[in-house]
Amino acid sequence: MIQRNEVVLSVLGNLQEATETSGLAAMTRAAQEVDKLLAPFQLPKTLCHDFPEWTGIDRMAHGLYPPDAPHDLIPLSCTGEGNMLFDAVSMLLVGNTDLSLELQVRTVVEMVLWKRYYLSGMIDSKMMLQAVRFGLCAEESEDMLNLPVAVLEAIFDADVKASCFPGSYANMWHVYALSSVLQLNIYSIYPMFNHKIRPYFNRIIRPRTWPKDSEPLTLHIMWSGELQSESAFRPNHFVALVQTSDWTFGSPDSDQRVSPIKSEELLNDDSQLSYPSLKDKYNITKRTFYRWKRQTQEHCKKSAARYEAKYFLQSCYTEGKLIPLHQFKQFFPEISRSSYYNWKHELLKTGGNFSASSSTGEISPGESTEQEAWSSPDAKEDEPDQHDSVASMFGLSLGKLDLERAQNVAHMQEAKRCLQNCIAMNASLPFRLFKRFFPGISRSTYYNWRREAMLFIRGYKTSVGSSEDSSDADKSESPKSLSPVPLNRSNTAQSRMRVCRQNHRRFRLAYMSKKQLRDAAKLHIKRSKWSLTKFKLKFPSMSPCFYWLWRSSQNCKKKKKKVVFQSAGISAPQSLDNLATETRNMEKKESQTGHPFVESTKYLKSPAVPSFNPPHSKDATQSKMPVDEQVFAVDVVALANFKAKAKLFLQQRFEEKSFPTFKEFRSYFPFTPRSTYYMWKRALHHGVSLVHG
Amino acid sequence: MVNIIDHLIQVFLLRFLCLQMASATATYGQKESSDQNFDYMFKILIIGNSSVGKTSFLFRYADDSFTPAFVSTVGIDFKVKTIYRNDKRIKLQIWDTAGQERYRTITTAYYRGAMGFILMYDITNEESFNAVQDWSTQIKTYSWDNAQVLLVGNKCDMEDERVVSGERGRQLSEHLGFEFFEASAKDNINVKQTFERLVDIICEKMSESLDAGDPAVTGAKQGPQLTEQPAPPHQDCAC
Repeated sequence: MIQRNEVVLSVLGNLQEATETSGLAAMTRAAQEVDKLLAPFQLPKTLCHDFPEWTGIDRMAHGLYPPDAPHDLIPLSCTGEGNMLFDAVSMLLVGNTDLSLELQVRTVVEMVLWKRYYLSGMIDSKMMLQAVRFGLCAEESEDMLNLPVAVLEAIFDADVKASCFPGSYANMWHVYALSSVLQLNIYSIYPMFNHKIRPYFNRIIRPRTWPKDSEPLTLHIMWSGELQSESAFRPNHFVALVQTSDWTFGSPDSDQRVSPIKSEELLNDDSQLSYPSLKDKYNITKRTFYRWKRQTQEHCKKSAARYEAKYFLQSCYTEGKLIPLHQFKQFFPEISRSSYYNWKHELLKTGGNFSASSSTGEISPGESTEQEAWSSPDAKEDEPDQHDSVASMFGLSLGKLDLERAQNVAHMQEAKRCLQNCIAMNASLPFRLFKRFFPGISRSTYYNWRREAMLFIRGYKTSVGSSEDSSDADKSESPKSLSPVPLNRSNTAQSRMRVCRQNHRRFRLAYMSKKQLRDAAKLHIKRSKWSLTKFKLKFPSMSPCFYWLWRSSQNCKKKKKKVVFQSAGISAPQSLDNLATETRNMEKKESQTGHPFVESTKYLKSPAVPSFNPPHSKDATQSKMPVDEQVFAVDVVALANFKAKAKLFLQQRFEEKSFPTFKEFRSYFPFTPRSTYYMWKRALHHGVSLVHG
Repeated sequence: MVNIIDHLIQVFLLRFLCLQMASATATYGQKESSDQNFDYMFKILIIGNSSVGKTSFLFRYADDSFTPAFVSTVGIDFKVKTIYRNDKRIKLQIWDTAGQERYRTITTAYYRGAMGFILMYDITNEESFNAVQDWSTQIKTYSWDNAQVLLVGNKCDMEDERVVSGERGRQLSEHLGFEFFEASAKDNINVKQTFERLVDIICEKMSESLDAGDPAVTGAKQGPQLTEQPAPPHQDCAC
């Protein structure tokens, strides 16, 4: 052990000398050397379960412990310099801080040698950079979001160098690198403050690599610091969190020490708890009890209100009328002016379409991660269990999809698809017309999509047909998969419950009015055989998807239908004609590549496409089928097929260990949104197969 | 005797660092960083408005070089310079910060742990002088209370274009309680002196605190939690 310490100290000296030359070149050389020298020393593979008696509980961290974190952990007090990331982790591994310096050295080496990975190659790079941005600034400030990557890189270099000295301050990138050094997951827990930035810090960090035979263990650390006021928290240092069972209650007053956090948890779990029932269990005063209770409730209310206001603003924006401040204030008097302007600014910058616009690929990382911020769960305390490991790992926000958003997303998707179809058929759809069909969508978004679709037409390369993954629906964070309508509906059911529960009355009203509109439209379509054009004229705000769905479901009722793809020359409204043309194009393309279209459709048994019956055989009588149903089916099939191809492509490339960047991926599959790409990438990285069978 | 003083200084340094953690968990003296290639390390920041010459000042001191071309600092960087003071190797980690307004929130993140500041203005630029008060407030807000500050009026070689008289600089520095130098990175006037003086002040402050029975250590920034914590025995202080 002595020898090991000496080696660590000497290599640290080398690294320190290397910091004296400018640039990272000398550091890289030194790091390579250090990497070799430290290779013979093994790091602990398991966590320490035996802590010295004098180790105390960090009371401040105790008081800050968030209710959504695992319940059986307690923060250990620890000493050291800087913000003590390495000390805390050393505590967890060996029960003292003997390993701190070595962990620090190894983290520096990891950061230097894998700089590119952390800054851009990693699945979580953007999340990490955003966390670093926030970690660097004293307050939550909008300026920080625009901090260019070049500046961040310069800061990264400086940070790495500074980390060669004791007492340095670790940022989020150190946590990521340390996780890789240990080949362990690090669950970084962040107190229930600063809700806008919290999701970036409160998450499970996965190592770069880990032994393939087992899932990595998870160690828990927490950001702690003094509360500056009732609601202002500035993280200051890290503390180690250990299982309650590993902690031997050494001192007589330990029971009392554990009490604050326990009782707070109970408050969250069950608001029925009364003071008398708690008093006996935990030694707290009546005043303390009611203070905690009040704080907890106030906090819940506040963040629920913010959440509601934010999404209200967003849905207003998507509908094309961003309400002015005074009107907003009428609805939400408790929301501050600055919040309104912050949100407005974000909406304007991202075009209001948080999910779909990310596929354009022209936005800076700052902006795109901002969208992630929007989709991040804001009012987590409503569902303490929601933040389980899987959800946070995938950065999903399933629980928080409210239906306005779901509908908006579906609407966006629909609009985009329509545009893509038109362009694929060489038919122009000018903005003026497009605007009439899809009033909520901005001009810039239109042009982004248009450019993207044009690119696709030029650069499209077919790959082999593949299967369709039916489990996808549960994985996607918003209804982005092939058929927005059915998915949207399932979300509707889900979120309706949620809406009721959370008493989001305004959303409910908005939902009700939309539903009425939809019901009316449905009735019209079922009764009279409207053309799509007429439908569009009567219900401009509704997605044509509904039209196809209702039409086809009506047809399905009559008798079992089969789809035929050689349909042409049937008179129909203009848009139908166009779609029919596309059918032919599609078919041509497919037969050219030797994969008949029909063949690939047989995989389409996904429950996400309820109104579609896969073809069993070709039958001459089928040509009598109403054209609109065929067209709808073809439309769905075509998209499903693209998606399946995209998945197979990714899976193959993943297996070949040459995973494409989003840029490359986009050149093959421009229809697939960026977020979907990242969702699949995440899934692959976490060992989930995209293609079954 | 020398050893004891040495040890005291070391203990002081450790406490100094511990103090900056608001948690102020009360164990000291666990870490011995002295067996490295330096005895002490001081973190020093150079701050001030954009283009007052912070980077040039640092390059003059660390590399004895000067480039007249203005290149705005990207984000933040630091240079290391080792000096000898009373037979001790002192490593100075000198941080060069970006003066531009938009980087200001980042740079304040680096105030943590800084023991000294060089607050710089440009004698040919009134605005940079007017901003000194703000910078001084920033230091007070984001750094440790006992951090030492020197006020430096740079570019004193450009006498023809001077707009801030030496007297005004001196008055302001007295008002703020900082020591004051006029310097020129270009002509290498007072550059080395500035840094050496800052190091001396930091050292003085250190020994002062030790003589006065650690007023700094028991100072204001400790949370109330500290007193409730069962303090582990610290033998280090007994010697």
